[in-house]
Amino acid sequence: MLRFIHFLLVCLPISQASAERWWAFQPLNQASPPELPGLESPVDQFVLSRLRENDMTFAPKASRETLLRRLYVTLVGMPPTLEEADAFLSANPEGAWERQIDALLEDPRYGEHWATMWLDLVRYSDSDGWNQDAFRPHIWRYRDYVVNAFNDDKPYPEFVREQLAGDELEGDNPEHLEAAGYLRLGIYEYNQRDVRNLWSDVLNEITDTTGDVFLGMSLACARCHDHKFDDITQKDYFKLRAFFEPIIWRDDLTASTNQEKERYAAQLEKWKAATESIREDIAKLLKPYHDRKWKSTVGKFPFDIQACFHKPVSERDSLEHQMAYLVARQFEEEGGGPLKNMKQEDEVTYESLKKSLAAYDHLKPKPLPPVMTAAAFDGPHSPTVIPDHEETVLPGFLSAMEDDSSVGFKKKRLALANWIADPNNPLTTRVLVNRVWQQHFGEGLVSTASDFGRKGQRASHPKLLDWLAREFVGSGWSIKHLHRVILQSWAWQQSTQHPEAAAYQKRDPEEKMLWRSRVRRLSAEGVRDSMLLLSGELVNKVGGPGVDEDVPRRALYVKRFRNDNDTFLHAFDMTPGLKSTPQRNETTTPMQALTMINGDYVMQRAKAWSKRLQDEDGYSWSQVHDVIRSAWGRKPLPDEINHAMSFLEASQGTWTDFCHVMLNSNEFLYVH
Amino acid sequence: MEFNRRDFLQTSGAGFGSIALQWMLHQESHGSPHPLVHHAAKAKQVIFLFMEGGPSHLDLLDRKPLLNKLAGQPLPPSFKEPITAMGEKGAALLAAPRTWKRHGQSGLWASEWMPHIATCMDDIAVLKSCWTNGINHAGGVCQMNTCINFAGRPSLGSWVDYGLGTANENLPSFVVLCDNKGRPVNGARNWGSGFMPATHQGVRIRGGEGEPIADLDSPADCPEDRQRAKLALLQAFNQNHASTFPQKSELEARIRSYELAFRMQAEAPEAVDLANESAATKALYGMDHRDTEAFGRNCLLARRLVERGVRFVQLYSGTGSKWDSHAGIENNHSRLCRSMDKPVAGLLKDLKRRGLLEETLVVWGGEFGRTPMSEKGDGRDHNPTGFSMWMAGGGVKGGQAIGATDELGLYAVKDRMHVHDIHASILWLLGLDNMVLTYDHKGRPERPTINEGDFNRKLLGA
Repeated sequence: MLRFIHFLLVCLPISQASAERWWAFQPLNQASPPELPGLESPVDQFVLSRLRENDMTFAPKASRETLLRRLYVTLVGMPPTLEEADAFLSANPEGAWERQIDALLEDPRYGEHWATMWLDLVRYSDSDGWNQDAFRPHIWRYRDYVVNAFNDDKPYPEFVREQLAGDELEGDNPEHLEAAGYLRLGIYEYNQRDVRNLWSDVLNEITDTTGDVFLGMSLACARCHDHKFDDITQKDYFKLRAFFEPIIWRDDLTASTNQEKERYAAQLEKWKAATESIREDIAKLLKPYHDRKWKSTVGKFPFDIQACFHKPVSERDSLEHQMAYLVARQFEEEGGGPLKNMKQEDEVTYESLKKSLAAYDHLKPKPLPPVMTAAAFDGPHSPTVIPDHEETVLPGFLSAMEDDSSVGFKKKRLALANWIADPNNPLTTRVLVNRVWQQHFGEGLVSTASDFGRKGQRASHPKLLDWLAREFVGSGWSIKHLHRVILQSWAWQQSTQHPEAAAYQKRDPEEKMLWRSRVRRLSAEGVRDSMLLLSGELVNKVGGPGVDEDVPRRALYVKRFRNDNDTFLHAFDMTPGLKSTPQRNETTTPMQALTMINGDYVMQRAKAWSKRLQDEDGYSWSQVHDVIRSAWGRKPLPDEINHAMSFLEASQGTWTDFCHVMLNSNEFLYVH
Repeated sequence: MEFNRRDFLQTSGAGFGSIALQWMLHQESHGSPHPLVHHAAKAKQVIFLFMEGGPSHLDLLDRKPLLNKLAGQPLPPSFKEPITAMGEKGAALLAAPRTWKRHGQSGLWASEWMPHIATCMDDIAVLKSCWTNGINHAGGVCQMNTCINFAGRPSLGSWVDYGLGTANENLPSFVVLCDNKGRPVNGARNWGSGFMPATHQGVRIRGGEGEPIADLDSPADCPEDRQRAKLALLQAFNQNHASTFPQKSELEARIRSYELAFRMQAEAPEAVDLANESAATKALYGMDHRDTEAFGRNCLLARRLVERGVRFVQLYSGTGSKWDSHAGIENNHSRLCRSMDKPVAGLLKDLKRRGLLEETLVVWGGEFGRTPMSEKGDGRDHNPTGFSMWMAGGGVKGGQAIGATDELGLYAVKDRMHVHDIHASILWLLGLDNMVLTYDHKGRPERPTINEGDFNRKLLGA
């Protein structure tokens, strides 16, 4: 039901196209799939007709065991266990594929895996960046929000609205503020006196990222000049930035319902009443120390910034309030705290007061879950000014899309989100379905997934792209529906080998026409998660605060620090979380080889895996068979088993050595 | 391992495998003239001596008699009040109690804090009017490494590797050495490849005990013969697998990446082994003295690495912002200068006598300089608006000072060189044009200096 609510919303209309408009801004093409007898999948009808025009055809379908491994890695990010594979292969083939797709789409590992695509786009990290690279203890709630959104198949417009404008949405839903954590994901560090420029950088960066993520348009060029290649003016850029101009970062809110808040407040009142005099004494004792630290903190800033800070909140505009916030963060975060160098006698008094206060802890309510989020400023909004032009701009949409609707004072970002999530906004739907397609095929129909502008690539199958976009909207913006449509196609299920490959490669060297599937390496997370799965160490627990690298949970949950990009995961091309990343690099380096064959992490996984095997004596044929099969997802050939057996016997090798070789093998690291 | 490179390159095409193949294609094209070189190169490689934390130009290279005259007084009102990192307001000017001398034929000034480098002034071009946007360490270090104070772009070494490739495939082509076990400001991000593939990332090498490169050695509990047996089995499986996918060149690439790893395993320890360096050479670098041993070792390693074809070596002096001297600058700088001065001079002299200086560009500097105003009485705050760096070798005409700061060394005023210009100049000397070298990313032709920056021709003596 929810997914149809968007139809009821008053949408900002996007006017009809003029003929010269850039393709990506034009309304979706309404073409039906070309009718090809014997083909049920509309995807195949589009793809095969294009192939036939070029005198080509699909590769045969891949084997069922190959497809199963491909399906698992695509949907849940790791291969099937032997038990899972046996269950699939022994089931009645009639409808088994559809049932398997459905089962994996309901598996919570699905959301964990697909969240990664989104987290890369929004440059998610658990740390601040800059120098201190401080840990962000509460931002994981945003990560979990994304995981849950995929698992719940949240309709895309809601997903857009909650992230861009969660604070402006009606309804008593703690998720909204978690989602608005999107507005906090950029790099930031308190330790900066030039706060005007700092804040301007922050707003520009949110603008850039929003263009990349939601519109698939690279806007950053237009920050300094009208875009040289696309119909985006510098004014457009600042119109978009103006939506974000009055954001206030909030560290004082909680992800809780109104009822939970009321209950908390009521209980807190009891504690406050009981402790009033103690708290007053503490406040009195600490006041000079706090005053001292405030004075020294504020005094470090330029005088105009100090003036912002000293202005009463009710008299500030949004920029002044933002400046005051940044000063206050300095106070909160700077090392030592106000109590550094406290007088001895005050320290003694303070300790005893704290003890008396602690006696009332039983009255204290359990803290509500803090959330890292943002909200609009209540007072006057500062204008957005184009630098060097002194021109003030109001929030507004891209002029190339011929929309000059004006936006009201209240709920600015909700207006932006509604414009983005309008079913008639052709960019939004094309960009999103293309991203999903890219995850399935290794490359999008538009291979530059965050650049649908003139410097990007044109769609290889433009009508298919538009058909998918319409299908997506028609399904109530269901990404799971999109998966089903794609996964049931021959195009997706075909083999990585084609009998005519040599000839086809000459005609279509980049394999844009989709005449076979691509061999792809596991992602960084895929490598780690799959090793933990094989070694039996993987702990399947969904959500919660980030963990250290050595905890055997999925890589998604390993704390990501922006400055530590030399970890195992980064060696396999995990993004550093600094810029929106639409597609991971897939590199092959000697450093990867070193970490795989010599590094301790992989060796430890091999040891853990072999421990599970050592309950039995010797090296049986069937054991070796199963080890290979679980790593490669196929039954080994007799030759391969013989080779392994002679390795195990001749070299006085051990299960650990053998498992280690399996983890290093290409057939484990690649998906066919 | 038998491997026909030509077949391999032919089958690789320009398709999906191309990113995976970058490493190998890179190796293929290092012959001269490199297709990506835009003009005749003056230098083949760079050693960047990075004084982390920000050394005081006022106490080393930029002599300001007026500063000592006005010491104790506030900054005269004719100077625009800067935003300072620590925000001390109205602080008095701090004298630079140095002994200054002119050196060499050129008569360039240097203070007593760098007596050894002073003997090389005729090989050095001092850039006296550098400036940057980074007001604090995070921004400044980020900018000096990636050309912008905001995180996320590839570092200069990555651009050089991307542009030129390596001259020795058995060693990483972008190497970083730190003079202590600490972590530099911003960590490994400083040598990250940003939006470029990880292939171009810098590799931190450790001199002295232990593995020079992480995971270079076989596991301790895995004897040689067992490792060999494992590799043979792996090789057999991988070859067999690859043969069923004859057009999948990324599988061959991975097989070959192991081969490269083993060559690195053989060659890297030799590259960092100083056993065959004479006592005299070691002494030249100050390795015979406690104060200069650590940085001296790294300087000598840098020479060995560029000798072996490493393109870009970055040495951190004062790793972890040790040059930062908000208080007690006399004590801080005299110690750090001592640790750095003789090794750096040794490096210049050693490169020169081996004929390597001509083709090796040596760059010296921090992320910013320091203020003429005092901080906490006897220290100096960060000065991003005017500071000194220097370059030597690699086609640079020594014995000259380029640009100038104002009379107190606060603002760069003449022939100002932004970090964009400094990076553009380093690239130019390597034969790379900062406006022609591009990397396509998200629809933008990204350039190493973010579409700004010019080569300063004065470096050539023009």
